[in-house]
Amino acid sequence: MKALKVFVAQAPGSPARAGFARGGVEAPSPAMKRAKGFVARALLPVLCLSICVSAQTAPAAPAQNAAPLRPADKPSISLSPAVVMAKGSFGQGLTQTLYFTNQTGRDLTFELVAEDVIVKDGKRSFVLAGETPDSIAATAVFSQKAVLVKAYSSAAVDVRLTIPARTSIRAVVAIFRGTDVLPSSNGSVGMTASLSALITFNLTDNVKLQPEAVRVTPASESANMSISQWIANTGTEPALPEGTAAVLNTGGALAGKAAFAPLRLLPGERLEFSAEYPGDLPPGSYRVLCSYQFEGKTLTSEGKFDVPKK
Amino acid sequence: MKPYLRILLLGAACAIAAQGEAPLSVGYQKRIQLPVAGATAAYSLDSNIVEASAGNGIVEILGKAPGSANIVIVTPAGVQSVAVTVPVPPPVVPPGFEPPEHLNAAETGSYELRYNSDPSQVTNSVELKRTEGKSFTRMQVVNANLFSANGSTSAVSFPFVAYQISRPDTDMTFIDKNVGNTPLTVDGLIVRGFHLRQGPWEFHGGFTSIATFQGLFLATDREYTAGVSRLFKLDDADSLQLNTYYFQNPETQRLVAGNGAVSSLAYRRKLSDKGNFLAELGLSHGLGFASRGTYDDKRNHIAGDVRIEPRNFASLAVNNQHGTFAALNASRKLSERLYASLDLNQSGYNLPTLSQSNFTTSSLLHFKINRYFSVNSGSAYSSFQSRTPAGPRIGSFNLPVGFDYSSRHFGTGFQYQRTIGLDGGGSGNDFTLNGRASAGSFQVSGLYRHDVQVPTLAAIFSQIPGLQDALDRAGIVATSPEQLADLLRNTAILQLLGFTNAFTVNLAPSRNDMSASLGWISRRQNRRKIDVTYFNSNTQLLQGNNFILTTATLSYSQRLHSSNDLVASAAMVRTTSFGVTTTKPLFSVSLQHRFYTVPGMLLPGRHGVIEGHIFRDDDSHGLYYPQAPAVAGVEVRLDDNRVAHTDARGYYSFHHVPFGVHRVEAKYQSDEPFFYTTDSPATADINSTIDFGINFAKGQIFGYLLNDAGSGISGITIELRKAAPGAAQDEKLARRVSTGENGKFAFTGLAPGDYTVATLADSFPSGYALADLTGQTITVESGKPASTQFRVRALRSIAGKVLAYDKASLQTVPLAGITVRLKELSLETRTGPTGAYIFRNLAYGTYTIAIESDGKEITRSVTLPAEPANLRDIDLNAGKLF
Repeated sequence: MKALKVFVAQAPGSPARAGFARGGVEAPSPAMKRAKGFVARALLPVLCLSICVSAQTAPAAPAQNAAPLRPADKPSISLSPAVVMAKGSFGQGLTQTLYFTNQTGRDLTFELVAEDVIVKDGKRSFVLAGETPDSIAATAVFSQKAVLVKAYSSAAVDVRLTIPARTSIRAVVAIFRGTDVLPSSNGSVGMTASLSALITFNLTDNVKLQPEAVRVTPASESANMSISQWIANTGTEPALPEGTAAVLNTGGALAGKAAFAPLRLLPGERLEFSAEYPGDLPPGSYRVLCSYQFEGKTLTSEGKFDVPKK
Repeated sequence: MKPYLRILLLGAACAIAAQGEAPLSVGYQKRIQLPVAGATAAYSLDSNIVEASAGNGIVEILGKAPGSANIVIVTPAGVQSVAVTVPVPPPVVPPGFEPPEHLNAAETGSYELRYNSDPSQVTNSVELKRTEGKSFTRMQVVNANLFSANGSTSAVSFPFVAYQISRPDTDMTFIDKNVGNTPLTVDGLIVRGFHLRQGPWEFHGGFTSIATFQGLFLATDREYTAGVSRLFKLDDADSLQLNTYYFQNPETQRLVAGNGAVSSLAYRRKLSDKGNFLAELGLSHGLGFASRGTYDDKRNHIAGDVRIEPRNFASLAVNNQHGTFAALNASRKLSERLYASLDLNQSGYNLPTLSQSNFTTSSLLHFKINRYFSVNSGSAYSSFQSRTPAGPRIGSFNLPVGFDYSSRHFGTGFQYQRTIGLDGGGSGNDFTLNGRASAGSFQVSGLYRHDVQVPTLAAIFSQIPGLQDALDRAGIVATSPEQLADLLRNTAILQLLGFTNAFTVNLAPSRNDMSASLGWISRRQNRRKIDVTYFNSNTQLLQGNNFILTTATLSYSQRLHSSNDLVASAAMVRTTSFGVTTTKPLFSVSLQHRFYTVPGMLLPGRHGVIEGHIFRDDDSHGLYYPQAPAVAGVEVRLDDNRVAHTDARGYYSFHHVPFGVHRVEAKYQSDEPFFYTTDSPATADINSTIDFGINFAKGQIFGYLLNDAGSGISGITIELRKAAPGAAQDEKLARRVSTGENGKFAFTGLAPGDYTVATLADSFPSGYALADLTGQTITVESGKPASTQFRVRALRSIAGKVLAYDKASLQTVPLAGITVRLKELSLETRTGPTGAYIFRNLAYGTYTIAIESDGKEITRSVTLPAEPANLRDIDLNAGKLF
């Protein structure tokens, strides 16, 4: 078996990134190691905060490679990398190290599990390992089944995944599932925190995106002009389209441009890409070109709009 | 839009599309301009990598960060995308950074057997090297038959034998070493003896007795030397080197080089990674000076060499550099399109048997008109003057001008040169036409050149068979004054050591050269290559004769397996001189073999063991433990060339593994889908343990236990039995689990086969219809989940009494025989003697119980929960009884 090529998006450990999102939804992040900060917003870990009324106890191993950290201004926890984009072929294996950072004043324990990510009716859902045919999550081997991350420390855990010889699954989440009940400050119900890293696999060249019509919402006194477009992933592989909307005047010259916030599209998924143009356009007719690049391909579609005289 | 404009735009679009096949490369933090007809706008799809803009038909692209991105160019003809790559700039390594030692470890070696037919010489060369970090041990042996100046026959000998042990602070070489100390002491000569470098000290002692020319080994009389040098580091870049050497030459070479001692002081400066500089002042029988240096950056290239050695300056005789010599090669990129180069070469031999002064210089300007076309022009001057032996002074002045066209598959060029002969020589016009083309695996090229007033080597005479032919061919190949000056410098040693007569330069009135070649190279792994070349040179000599050299050569090379190469060539050489024509075949064969291991007996090094176990890791722990089930007979590969198999304990080992990082891979074979729970392949240093865990892609059964209302029933035991082949009654209990809060249960890690899943009646709480419980047979496949569902009916009933108030007895009494209706299900029942009624086997939901009394309907609403429920005391009051 050969190792997969891996592209890793690093998640920051700064307190500013402490925010929560629903399971399966990628939450924004302000600082990525790579200069393209906007990518980070789409690559944040899935931060699952679930309310529970009883604490579960799990055997927890002490954190390996634990390193003391400087206390942050605000308590936070983070998992890095948040997203791993692996490229390879069926039968290959991948070992990825995940770093968990605990910037809170409490020791936290987590159990480690992997779940397959599948798309049903255009939406993502997590499925327990092995409950889907040719599950990738079922091959997950964690270097520790559970981990204790001491206060203001970090811990590293390796996860090894093997792609089955045939599978339609292209994404897995490695979940640090909290087993501690966090006390609330106002005496309300306790909570447990879970973080997960999304690992996607590109195994073939069958990457296809299907764009829909370009929609332009003119600027108003309370909002910028917005350009949006729904795109569906009709191929079998994940895609991370990066795009730009270019506004051209009647002479074909560039009047303005705006970047689409990149969104990851798993096979079967359909999401709306949108960009805001904050500038003022003189009255007239315009063309807007929405171009996206993904996996070495380019996709461009066109729309038209008018800016009326005031 | 006018038709021609459309065609133009279409052409531009096609050009961009053609470029799109291969990504456009833009340097990091560099800006390029791309002419695109009609381009009105351009934008990047990743502004962090590249930025693009357009105006007036020019697209400007800026490489902002390493990576790849697409740019979109808008023209009236449509929209085009161009892939752009920004290469990663060279790494900037912090001062003092060195890679980890274990990353630089290798055993390498090569063997070559070479045969040349003219002169007939067989050469065997072996080189073995073991590298361990910054240390290495190397052994080199060259065996050949040697020619000497005294006879026409050869004797078998070992011109080079070396054993080198190199450590960071010490370097010791036994027998032969190519010593490059300083220009005024020993400079690039093979010294046979003992060599030692210890810290700043360096010693070389021995003798030299070998000269080489074009791959030929020539034996000379022994010339002895011994010397020591000491390095003084001034700082990281500057150093001083103090040298003291003694030279003792044989009697026959005393006229070439004197005996005695040389003391010198050399200053060295390292110009970061761009170049270096050396200047040396030496004292012997006179004062000598030498300097050399190189400098390269993005725009400039400079290489210079100056040497002044008096005639009696002590040196080895094989060092032919007595006199005044200077060479300079410089070029500069003046702009993106303009490139200038300058060459200067001065050789002033000052020896009793050779006194020559040769000077050549040339300067050239290249201008790139566009991607395909370029022009050049410049000037050149050359002067060759031989005093010993006496010869005429030959000088010429040239004014060249030319153009070139070059594309990926086709190129051609034309060069014109006006030659003005000095010192009585005539003038004339030179021209050269060349062309090349390639298609697929084939390449073809051709050249025709006509020169007038050409400086050429005069007739050379040598007793060594084949050496004269080799010199003739070398003289013909030297087509420019610069190449001729180089040849004279390289071959002066031959005449000084007595292998040939003295070289002089003649002026040939004209020379016509013609060549053609056809090449084919295989794209397969064997890298087979065939070249056919034809060359004809016709030189008009001063004596009125012509010297005609014609060669036809067939060359073949091929990679044999992965470690062997074969190179062979056959040529027919035909020469005509003074009306006499001779034809001679030439053959050469070379067989090369590469080694990837070296014998430890010859080159001892650090070795160790890589070992481990292959085990079944059914729980995917990824860690080996002694009780883990062993997997025997599995192939394990080390670096893809050593193989071991696991024994009954699952153990494997590789012994005598050389120092360094190695790749270890388990090659388990199974019809059942499996995966490794540890890395395979894995990397390992010596003396490390690499275990491989294997787990099989198992199936699982999961499902839900629900009641008839669809609610999960928790805490119920589910039993899994493995069906024995052919006998269902012999089912073997495999496992039991309890249902969770939502009634979910799962059996994971199941081997393929048939299973029976059933609920355990005893574990149900009361209130369920257990008589209906049945098991389910489920087939499990590897890696495939199977799901199931159990439904159990919850028992629910509604019971009560129909009562009335008896005025006579002043108490409530039951009413018998009253019809009680369950309206939703249209069920009816009659009350018994005690006034009781009951409705059984009811589903979850809300019901209405009704009776009729005195023509009135009396009802009561009751809700049955999802769980089992027996609702009693649902009494109905019929009113008063009179």
